[in-house]
Amino acid sequence: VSRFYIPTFILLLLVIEGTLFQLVTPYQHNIDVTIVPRFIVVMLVFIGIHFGRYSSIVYGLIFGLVYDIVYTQFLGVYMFGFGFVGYAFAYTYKLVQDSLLLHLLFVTLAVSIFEYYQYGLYRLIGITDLSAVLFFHERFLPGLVLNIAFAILVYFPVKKLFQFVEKQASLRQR
Amino acid sequence: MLDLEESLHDYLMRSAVVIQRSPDRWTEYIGLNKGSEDGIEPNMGVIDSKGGLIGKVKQVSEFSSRIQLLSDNDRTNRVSAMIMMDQPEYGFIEGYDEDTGLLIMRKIDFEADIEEGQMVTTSGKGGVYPSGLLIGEVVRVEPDEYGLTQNAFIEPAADFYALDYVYIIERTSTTMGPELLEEETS
Repeated sequence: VSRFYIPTFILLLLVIEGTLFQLVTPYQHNIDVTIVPRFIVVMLVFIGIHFGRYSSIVYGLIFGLVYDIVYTQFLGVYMFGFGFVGYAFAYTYKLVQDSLLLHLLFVTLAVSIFEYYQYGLYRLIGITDLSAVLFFHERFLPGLVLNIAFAILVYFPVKKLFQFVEKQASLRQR
Repeated sequence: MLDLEESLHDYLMRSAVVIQRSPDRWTEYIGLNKGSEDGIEPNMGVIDSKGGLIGKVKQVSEFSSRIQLLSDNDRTNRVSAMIMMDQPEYGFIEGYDEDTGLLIMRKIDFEADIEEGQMVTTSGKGGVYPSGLLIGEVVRVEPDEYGLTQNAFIEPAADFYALDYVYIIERTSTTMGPELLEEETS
């Protein structure tokens, strides 16, 4: 059963991003800030660090596809983005695995790259006409703060979960 | 009395619940819990529980549908609207000013005398929405950039960010068939 814990957790995050989270952060006209949750990107970085490149790419592609189907109307934007994050942030070194700071550094990098990838693409095909300066202040910084906060919040529980899943898997092999 | 059986006001209403919203706020879409099994089809209008128009059905699957809000920044997102006065003035809702939260109504006759506080409703002449759905009220009028028509800024009656229960509007009056709308190609 334990092998389903991580996919279930990520699926839960995917649902929360589109439903509960939208109720927590209502839009207000007097504050020009749009906070976008990127919980799945955070989880992909964690999986990449602890389980390696193969796992994080597979998770990224599958959940990217689900995200595309459920939340957007162009297939592929999230699938490629999540897949790329899974590919690029798989540093399975002991040094990285033990350090909260390095986790946060990679989360910061991954969320930044993903946000700018998506902004660039949407600017290119004309979905948004937000200027780069405004994007940086109104979307990028607030979103980054939120996602780093989320990463700190789930760091220890997720590590416990990963250790538990790994232990169960090694027990199964015996 | 004239015995007119059909008018552009005719519509059917179905209630629905908002179940999700696009997490990246690049596009303004929401998801509803009614789909093709409940008779929902693309291009039906959607109003909120207080009666203000919020958008139209864009995609339908079996048990859910996706609604494009009026605030979505898409060039094809237009509504044929009219300003309610003795002699209604027609125009198009095209675009949304994110800074002020106002809808922009363009292509209004330059001669038209538009005052603040006048009600704006759908005209029904776009073939998508029935006539008479409330959109909002005029806040400000200014000439457009070429000085040929006027632009009106409209305070929407619906709050696009506090949606829970909505109604899906099915226009029952006839619309022109696609073969009639097509230009002659031969």
